[in-house]
Amino acid sequence: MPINPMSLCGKRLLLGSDGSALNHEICRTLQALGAEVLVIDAKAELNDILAGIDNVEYDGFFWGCVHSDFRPLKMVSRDNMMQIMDENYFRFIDLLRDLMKHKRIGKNASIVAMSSISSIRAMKAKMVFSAAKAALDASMRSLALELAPKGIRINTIQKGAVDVDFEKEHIQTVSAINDGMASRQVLGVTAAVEVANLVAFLLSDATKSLTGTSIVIDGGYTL
Amino acid sequence: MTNEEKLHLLEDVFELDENTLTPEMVLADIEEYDSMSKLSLIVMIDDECHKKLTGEQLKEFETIQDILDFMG
Repeated sequence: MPINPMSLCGKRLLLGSDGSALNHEICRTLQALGAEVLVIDAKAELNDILAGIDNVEYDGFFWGCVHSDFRPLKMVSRDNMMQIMDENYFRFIDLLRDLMKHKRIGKNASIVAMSSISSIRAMKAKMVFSAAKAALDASMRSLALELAPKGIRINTIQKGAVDVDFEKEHIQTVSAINDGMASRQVLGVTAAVEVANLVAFLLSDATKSLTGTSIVIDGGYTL
Repeated sequence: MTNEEKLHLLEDVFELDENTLTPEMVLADIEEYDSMSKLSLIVMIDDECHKKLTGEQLKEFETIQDILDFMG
């Protein structure tokens, strides 16, 4: 019988979703690879999220909350900055802290959070979102060291333009003012299932010693 | 919102002095109406008028009056 190194059979996973089509695709892929997935609402109150999580140790935790706002400097307000930082960064740290505290993340678990190439490449009017995802990536590296003694690993995915995201009107506007952002993806816009495969790869035993890394999937945008 | 208030918001967005914009002005003739100003316009209309301005709608604007009409 052929082996599948990305098999997730027997794994219990938590998936923090903001309801996006990409997160639906990720959930489908993880289940197809054999995982038992509990989807949690990434935008709910922290206590409500915790109350809905089974009292077991999970083998993996994926955080997929991405709020990609765009605002030029003169239109930025403190409220807007706080909201973007909250949804792209603070909420993940708050939830991870409480999951660890309540022993919901098992030994040798894998944690994956969704970041963006905005973390490492400049784009007009994306400074707050860029800062939020850069904060997530930087924290991930520190957490990789902090969690390593428990055998827990953590990585982020820096995604570029994904087909299902691109259906949203505002992404096209941002692309237009950034000189055809998508056309700079030399291999074209990434399919949602490719990002889902990457999440599965990082959550699987195929990558047991992979930690503290941000993996770029952007069709070559950052080349 | 009065037309005067809307014009002031637009002057802010385009970084122009007060009372420099008039409804009949043609957008193509306004040097400050560039890609970043267009983006600021989308955000301002969202914040102030709670309306979503799409890239397609934006392309159809020819005069300041067209923007004032959209702002409602």
